[in-house]
Amino acid sequence: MGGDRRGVLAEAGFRSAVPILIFFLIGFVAPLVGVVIYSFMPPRTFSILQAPTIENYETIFSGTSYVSFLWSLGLATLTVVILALVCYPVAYGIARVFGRWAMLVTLLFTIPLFVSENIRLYGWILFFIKNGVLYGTLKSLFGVETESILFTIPAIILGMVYVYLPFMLFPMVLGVSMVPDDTRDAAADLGASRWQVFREVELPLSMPGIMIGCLLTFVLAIGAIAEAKVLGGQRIIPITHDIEIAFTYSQNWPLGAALAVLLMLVVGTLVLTVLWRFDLDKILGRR
Amino acid sequence: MTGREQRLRHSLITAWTLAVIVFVYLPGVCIFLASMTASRYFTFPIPKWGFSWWEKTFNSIEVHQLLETSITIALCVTVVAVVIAFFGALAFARYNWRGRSIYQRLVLLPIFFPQSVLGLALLLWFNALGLDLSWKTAVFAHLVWIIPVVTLVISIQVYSFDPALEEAAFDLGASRWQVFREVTVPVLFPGIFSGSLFAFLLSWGNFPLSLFTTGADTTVPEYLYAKMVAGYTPGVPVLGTVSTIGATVLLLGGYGLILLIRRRREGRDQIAADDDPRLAAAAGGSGRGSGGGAGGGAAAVSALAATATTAVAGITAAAAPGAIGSARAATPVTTQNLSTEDDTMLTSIRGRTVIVTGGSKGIGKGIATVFARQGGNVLIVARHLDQATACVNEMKAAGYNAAPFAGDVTKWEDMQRMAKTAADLWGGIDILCANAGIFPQVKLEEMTEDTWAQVIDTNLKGTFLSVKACIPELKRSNQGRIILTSSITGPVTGFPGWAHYGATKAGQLGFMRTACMELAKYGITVNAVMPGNIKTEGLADLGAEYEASMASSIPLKRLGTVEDIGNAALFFASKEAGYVTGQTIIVDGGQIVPESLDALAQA
Repeated sequence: MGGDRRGVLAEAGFRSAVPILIFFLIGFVAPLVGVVIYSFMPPRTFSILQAPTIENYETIFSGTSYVSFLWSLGLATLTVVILALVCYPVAYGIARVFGRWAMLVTLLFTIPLFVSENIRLYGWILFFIKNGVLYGTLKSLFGVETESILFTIPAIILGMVYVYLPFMLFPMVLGVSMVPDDTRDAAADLGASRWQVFREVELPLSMPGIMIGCLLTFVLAIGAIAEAKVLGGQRIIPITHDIEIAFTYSQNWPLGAALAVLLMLVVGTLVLTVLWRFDLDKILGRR
Repeated sequence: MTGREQRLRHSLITAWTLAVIVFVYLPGVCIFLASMTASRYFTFPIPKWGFSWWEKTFNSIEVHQLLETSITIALCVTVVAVVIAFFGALAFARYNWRGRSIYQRLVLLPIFFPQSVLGLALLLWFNALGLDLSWKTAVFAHLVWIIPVVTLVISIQVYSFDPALEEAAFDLGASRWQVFREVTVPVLFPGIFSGSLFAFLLSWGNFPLSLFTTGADTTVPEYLYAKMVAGYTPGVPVLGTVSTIGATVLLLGGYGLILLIRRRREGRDQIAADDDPRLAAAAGGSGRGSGGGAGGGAAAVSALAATATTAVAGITAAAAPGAIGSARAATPVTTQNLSTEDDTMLTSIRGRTVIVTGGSKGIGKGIATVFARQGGNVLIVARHLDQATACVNEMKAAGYNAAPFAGDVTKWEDMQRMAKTAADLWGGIDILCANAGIFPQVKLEEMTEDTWAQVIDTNLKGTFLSVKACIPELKRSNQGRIILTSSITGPVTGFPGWAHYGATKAGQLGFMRTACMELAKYGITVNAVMPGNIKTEGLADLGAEYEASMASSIPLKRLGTVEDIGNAALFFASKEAGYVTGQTIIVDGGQIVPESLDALAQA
């Protein structure tokens, strides 16, 4: 390949990126900048042409929104931990054990992704509701009647684990498949115990996938709202719910924008830190 | 590791995976079961199976419009997203250019962003640009996060693309356009196809972005959410099932098609390759592209596995993380009253829409509870949303249908919004319980004009405004009912400190007598319950001693419960009370009956 052709290709790369970058600017960057500007407008106003103020942020830091923030953080962390434990064996199975069935299993986990989240959560309501699938069966078969877990915090966690499962699973499968068989065998041949192989070889080598899975689920879970609303009966108010209320009921767009900015800061920092640490080409399969 | 140990480990992993699959599909199965119930309500085991709701759903014009909107949006999104993402993917995975690694990260950012916040940001943005919201703005919003996903999906195919193929074509003297059309696009076709499939399905299933950006147009997920919020609607599981099965069929069918095309093409290439060495190279290339070049089936299968698995992160947003509620947001999903205790002498009010003003506590809560227990859809109206919501949560926990509404009965706009909310949620209003009232205890000498005005406003004007706002919907119900909460204090008795309150309670009865005449021609009845001494939260503060002394002055020797009042209201609301209008029921345990204290003592 001559130097000339290489120059052409480099230029082609940039030119191919232009449409998507333009879209990125007007569809993603500009609206977010708008939110940031809004967050500095006086409370309960609807125009962005006023003298900036930090009143909204003061309101947030002197108010109780931090409780919502803590709930969101706590629930997201718990979801990530539970998902990591639930998904690892499945990911290991898909990558190493199931062989030709692996594709079917993968497909089975892919399908629900295309069904809107609210429909799937609704299924849980039908399952857990009084005289629904679970309690109706218990009652008719065993005559047992117990309190439903619907509208409790465990129900919220169950909903989040359920909704975000594929987002942990798929990156994990990638991570686990990145561990070469040779390395594992070599470690075993050298006398490592199964636990040692896991801790010293498999876990570190599959870390990129696991980290991306954790990041993804954490970021999505911290932005979750439907679970707390639908399955939790608003027993707790996550931060996104606060944002939504500011935009709808209380008609205080600047306050909502300020809350959104804080959430964006947390999410953005996390995502950029983690994304920058990994070689995307390697994870996504460039040879 | 011994063979036996390994087998054990593998069976454990298999068992665990199967359990997780069951977990993932359980809700879908529940929805499927519910769609085949013949009755209006879902109970399990299902008493009577049937497909009547499928028929009704498919014949509904509303559903046809929804499908049209959703499909239009999804198709537009697919076309635009695939074109932009195709080039985006080339820049992502094919070309080495300065700034590529920064570009890769930036492009993926929207995927990692809470969609609910993104939806709101876009709403502000459209607003700032002065754009009217419609399905077109929704297309734009969907594109913001679908383009990155599709870019990722196509990139995975691009990674496996062999640049030597293009080089060879160039060397053979092909122009850039020829190379693009004859080599690049065909070889990347599986990726493009997967990308289209993803784009379509993700747009089809998206909820949070649509919610804020469709304006008056409605997509299927939005519609389903609105219906879910309103309680159990028989058509919802049908649409949910259709949505699920549709997505599955499209996904499987799409990949089946890829497999078929690849098989045929490889067969054809094989034949052609015998004569043309150039094509042989191309065939080899496309084989490599799909992951090995072994049999066509295996290649397609591994391509699918690669796309599905690696689309990975990409798929993220797929399931619409962070579904946010609509403008009536705080209305939580309510659930069906499944209790069987409604076999009373009165015809059930099941499924009827009930508004209870001041319904979050005291007598109002009692009325709301009784109506909800009977299967009514109850809108709990209170000045503060948190109070209304707390009350609704209690009801939902018991399996009843209820939704909260924050509004002030003295404000006409609030009352109009209230009527509209109930009508939007449940398709009309059948019963209005004008119950909101305040009773600050002040002796005449200390009473200010303000206190007086406040009590008159809330208790009398509030009655007027709430009734007026509901009349249009009550007219449409063929069994409209208005039930006022009056009191014995005022119309019958007096109590120190309640001059203003007593005046309003007597005033309500005057209002009722004219209202019942004016509304009779629409079949709407107007009646009032007149509670005596009722045990409410406020009374509990006064202590057990007060309670005991009050009880001693009542022939039935106890204070009334809020549900005693609810039951009287229920009678007025029933079909059987259809010939009763302009009347009152005193519910006071006989309190007003005794001629004297002595009479009570002698009994």
